[in-house]
Amino acid sequence: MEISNAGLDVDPDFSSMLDRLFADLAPRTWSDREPAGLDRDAWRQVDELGLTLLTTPEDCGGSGARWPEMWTLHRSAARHGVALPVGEHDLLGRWLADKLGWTAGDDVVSVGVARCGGAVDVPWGADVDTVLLVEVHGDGAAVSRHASADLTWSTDGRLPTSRRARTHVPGIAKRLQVAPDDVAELRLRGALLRSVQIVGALERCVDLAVEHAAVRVQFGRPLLAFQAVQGMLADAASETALASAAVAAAIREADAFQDLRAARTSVAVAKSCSSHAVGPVTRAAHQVLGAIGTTREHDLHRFSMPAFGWRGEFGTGADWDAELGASVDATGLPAVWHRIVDGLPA
Amino acid sequence: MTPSSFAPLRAEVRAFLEEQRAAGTFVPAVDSWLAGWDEEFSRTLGERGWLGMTIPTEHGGHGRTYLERFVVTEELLCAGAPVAAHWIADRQIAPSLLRFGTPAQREEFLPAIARGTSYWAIGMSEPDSGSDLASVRTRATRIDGGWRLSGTKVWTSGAHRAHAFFVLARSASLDPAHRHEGLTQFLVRLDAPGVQVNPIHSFDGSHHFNEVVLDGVEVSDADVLGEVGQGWRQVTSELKFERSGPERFLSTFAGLAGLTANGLPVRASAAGVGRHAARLAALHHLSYDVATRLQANQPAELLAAMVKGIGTRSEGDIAEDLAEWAVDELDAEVDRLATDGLSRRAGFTLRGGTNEVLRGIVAKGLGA
Repeated sequence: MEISNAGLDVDPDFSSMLDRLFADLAPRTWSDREPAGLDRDAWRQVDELGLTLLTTPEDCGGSGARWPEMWTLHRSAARHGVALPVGEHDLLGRWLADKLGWTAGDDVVSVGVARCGGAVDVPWGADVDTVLLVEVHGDGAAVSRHASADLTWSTDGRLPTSRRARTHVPGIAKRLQVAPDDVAELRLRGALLRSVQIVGALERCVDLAVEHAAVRVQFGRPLLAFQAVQGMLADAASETALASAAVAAAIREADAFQDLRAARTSVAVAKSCSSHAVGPVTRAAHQVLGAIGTTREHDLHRFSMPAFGWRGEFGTGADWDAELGASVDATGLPAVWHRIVDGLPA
Repeated sequence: MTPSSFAPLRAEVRAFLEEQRAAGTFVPAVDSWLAGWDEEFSRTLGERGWLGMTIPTEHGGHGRTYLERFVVTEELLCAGAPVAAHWIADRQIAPSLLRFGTPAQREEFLPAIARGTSYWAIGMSEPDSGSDLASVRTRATRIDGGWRLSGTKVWTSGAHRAHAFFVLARSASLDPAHRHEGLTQFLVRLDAPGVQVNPIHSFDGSHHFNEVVLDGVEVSDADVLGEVGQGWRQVTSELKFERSGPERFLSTFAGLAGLTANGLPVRASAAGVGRHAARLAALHHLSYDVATRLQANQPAELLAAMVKGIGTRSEGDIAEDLAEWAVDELDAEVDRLATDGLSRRAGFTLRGGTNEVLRGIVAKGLGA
C-alpha cells in the first residue's frame, strides 16, 4: 500500500532510515522458542540511535521527539514486525516513572494496568527489567514498582507471537497515588500507540496478500485476476486506509494541542477504527494467502496476530465506541462532530 | 492549512443554517443532496458566496479552494439542508466547464451556477448501459454546423427541473478494440425541441429519476463540450471530484443527529451509536485527505474510489440501524428520517459507479 502521512509533517529521511533499520532488524527479534525473551542486542542497537526514548523529553534523557515521529517509528516497526517493547518503554513506562520521580537507569520498563486488583496483564512483562503495576480504584489509582524477576509470570491467555505476560499485584508493595488525569493520559497514550501499531501491521497484511495474489496462479490466472479476490483486497485496503486516516488525524491533534487529553475524541476515533479494521483485514489477508498463511514458516502471522493483541489493549473498539456514544447521548451528535471536524482542543 | 483554520468558516455556515432552520426555511432531511430541491435556498446560498466557490472570480465565481468548498458542503450535508437544485452544477458541471468549456460556454453558465440559478443533470447511463459507460448507444450524427442526437438516457436525476445536462454520446461508430474512442460530451438544454423527459418514480413515491428521450435533438458545434472523440477521457478525469466528496458518507447524518437529539433512542446502545460516529469521523478525515490532494494536484483516484466504496456502505448501515432504533419511538420527525433513509439506502451504493466497479478500480490500483 502507498504510505500516506495524511498531511503530517514527517521527515522522509527519518522515515527511510527506520525502514532500512527495521527491515534488517525485525527477523532477529522473531523467535519461535518459548520463552522468547527480549533480544538485548537488537534493543541496544535501537537504543544507541536514541529510538527507545524517542518521545521522552531531553531533560529526562530522551530524544524529545514529537507525535509525528512517534507515528513514523511505531508504524514502521509494526510494518516490519519488529518485536521490541519500544513503545511500552518510551510512551508508557518511562513516562509514568518520570511523572512519579522514579529513576529507571538503563532498565527496560513496562506498565500493566490491573482492573480491580488480582491478575494483571503486562506487555513484555516477563522480559523487561522493571514493571510498573497500576491499580485503578474508585476515582484514583495506585502504582507500585517491581523488578520483573521478583514477580511470577504466566503465559495464560496470550496469543501466538505475543510477549504479554500475566502476574498478580503483590499484596505487600510500596504504592504511590497517581492522579486521575494521569491515569486517563496513560490510557490515551496506550490507545494511540496501539492504533499506530495496528495501522502498520495491517498495511503489511494487505501488502503480503497483494504480493501473493499477483504471483499465485490458479485456474491459469493470477489470483488478482479473480473478481472475488479483487473485492476482498479492495475492502481490506480501504479499511486500512480508513484506519490510517483516523490515526493520522489523532496524531496531528496530539501534536497541535500538546496535551493528549484535549485530543481524546480523536484518540477514541483512532482506536475504534483501527481496532474494528483488524478483523476484516486479517480475515481477507489470511483467506488470500491460503494454507501457507497458517504456518509458522510464513510471516503473515507476525503481523496479523499482534494486530489482534493490540486490538484488545487500552480499550477495545467497542469500549471507545461506547465512550463516543455516551458523549453523543450527553451533548448530541453535532457537538461531538464539531469537535472532530473543527480540529480544536476539547 | 490545518483543519482548525477552517473553524471560523464552519461556524459561519452553521450559524446561517441554524437561522434558516429556526425560520422554518427547511426541515433536516436525509439524502438532501439528491432529494431536497429548493431553488430559493440555492439562490440564498449563491448570495452568501457558497456556490461556485472554486470558480475563479473572472468567471463569476469566488476563487476559493477545494478545501473551503469541502468545508461548506460538509456543513450543508450535516444539517440535511435542501441542496439538490444546484448540487450537480456546483460539484461537477462547473469544474468540467472550467476544464473543457469554451469561453462562450463559461460565460453563459458559470456566473449563473455561482448565483444558484443554473441547474443541471448528467446524461451518462442508458437502458443498456449502467456501470459499463463505454457501451452507450446514444448517437451523435454530424449535420451542417452541428450534431443531431438520438437515444435514451435514464436515471437522470433532476432532469424534470434542471435547465440543461451533459450528454455522453457515440460520435463515431464503435470499434470493439477501442471501446473508449469515439465518444463525445454535448451540452443539451432540456427545453430544446426533441427532448422528452419522462418521470421514473422511486418506490417510496419520490421523484428525482427520469428517462430523457433525445429524438433527433439538434445542437450546434458551440454545444460540444471539450473535444470531439475525447468524451471518455473527459468523463473519467472528473470522477475523482464526483467520488470523494462528503455526500458519499453523510447522506444519513441528519438522521443520526435527529434520532439522537434528545439522548440515545431506547433501542440503541452507546457503542452502536459511537461506532457510527467514529466511522463517519474517519471517513471525514480520509475524504479531507483527498480534497487536500485535489487542491495540490496530486493523484487521488485510488483514495477517491475507496472513500466512495466504504462511505456509501457506511451511510447505508446507518440507515439500517436508524430504522431499527426508530421502532416504538412514535415521533413523526424520527419516523420520517428513518423511513426515508431506508427507502433511499439501495441507491447509495449504486449512484456514481457501483461499489463492485469501484472495488475493481481499487484492486487494480493495488496491483499496479
